[in-house]
Amino acid sequence: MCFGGGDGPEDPKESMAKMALAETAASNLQRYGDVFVPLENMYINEATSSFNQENYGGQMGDASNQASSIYETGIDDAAQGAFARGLDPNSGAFNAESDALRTAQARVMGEAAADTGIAQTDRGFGQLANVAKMGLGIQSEVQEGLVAQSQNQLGAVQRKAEEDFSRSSSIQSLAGTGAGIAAGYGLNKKESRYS
Amino acid sequence: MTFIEFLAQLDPEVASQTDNHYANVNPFTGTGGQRNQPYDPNNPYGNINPYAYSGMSREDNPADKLYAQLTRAQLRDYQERFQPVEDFLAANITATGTEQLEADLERTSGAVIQNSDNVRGQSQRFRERYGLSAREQTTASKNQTASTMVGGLNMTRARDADRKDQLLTGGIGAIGNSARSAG
Repeated sequence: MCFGGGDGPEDPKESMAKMALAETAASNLQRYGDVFVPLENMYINEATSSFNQENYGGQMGDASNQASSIYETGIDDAAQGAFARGLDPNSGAFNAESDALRTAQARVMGEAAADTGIAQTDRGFGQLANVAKMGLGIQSEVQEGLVAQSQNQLGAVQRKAEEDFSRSSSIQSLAGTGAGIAAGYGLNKKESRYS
Repeated sequence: MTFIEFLAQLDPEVASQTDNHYANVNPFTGTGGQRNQPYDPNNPYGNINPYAYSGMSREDNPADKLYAQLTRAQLRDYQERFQPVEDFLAANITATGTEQLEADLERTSGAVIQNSDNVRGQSQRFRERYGLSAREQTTASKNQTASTMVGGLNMTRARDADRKDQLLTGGIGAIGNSARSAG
């Protein structure tokens, strides 16, 4: 028996509002595709190529050069201090101090370069994890930039250099003199090449 | 066994019907399959027309059809752009860390040796400037290089193990959670 009287559950019709919502969702998705997908793809390409060797060489070399320049300044100052003390450059005392500082320089340069390489791998995984989060619609994390990374590492190298040079008797002998102040200043004023 | 291998074992007609079923091809027109739609990774939603179903009778559920098309497009986009990255991350995890460990160890060891050589060169040039003869590498220096190498390699391994934990808990850990709650 049919009672009429309008649409029953057996005769469902979609509401106009639902259709409008679906069209809005489709328009929003199209805008996302037009504007944001190419930007996301740029980041995805960067992330997927982050383990390529060319991304390591330059940064590791920079870290090692920055560490080297800090030590070179200090070693020159130490040599001047040694000569001011009247040390013979062929003497065992001069050679021992020079060797100790050079050994420390090699250690810090190696550590700085290695640490930069490891940090680059960490950065690559961080980027890839961010891509995975983007795919899931989860808030991705802001990563420490290369400039901040470089500055942090430079700070660590300077602290190590200060420790190494504080053991140098030649630099200690210059303490209180203009050259001594300059040596200390020389160790502290280095900044990242990115700054 | 892959889907293609599974299809190869079936009777050709059944295989075709099964393939069409999963590809969501309209059996009457032979069109509309998700796999047949063009996919542009730089504009994956460009082929969607928001008003494609606007003229359709509301009794034919045009909004549901449009939503279904959007959902399929989103899935396809996710599969094409994000799933390969998830697979790469998952494949990178090993029992002790990640697949990048070997490359990192190589770079660490190269950095220590190369910088030791560089500093020896710098030292020799420094001595030449003062008219001093070159000196052999001292035992202390060799020991220091070896100790820097050991410390560096140990640090590299420790950092790699940390990475694995970070990936499992923060990077791809969310993928499992998301997959379990899907639906």
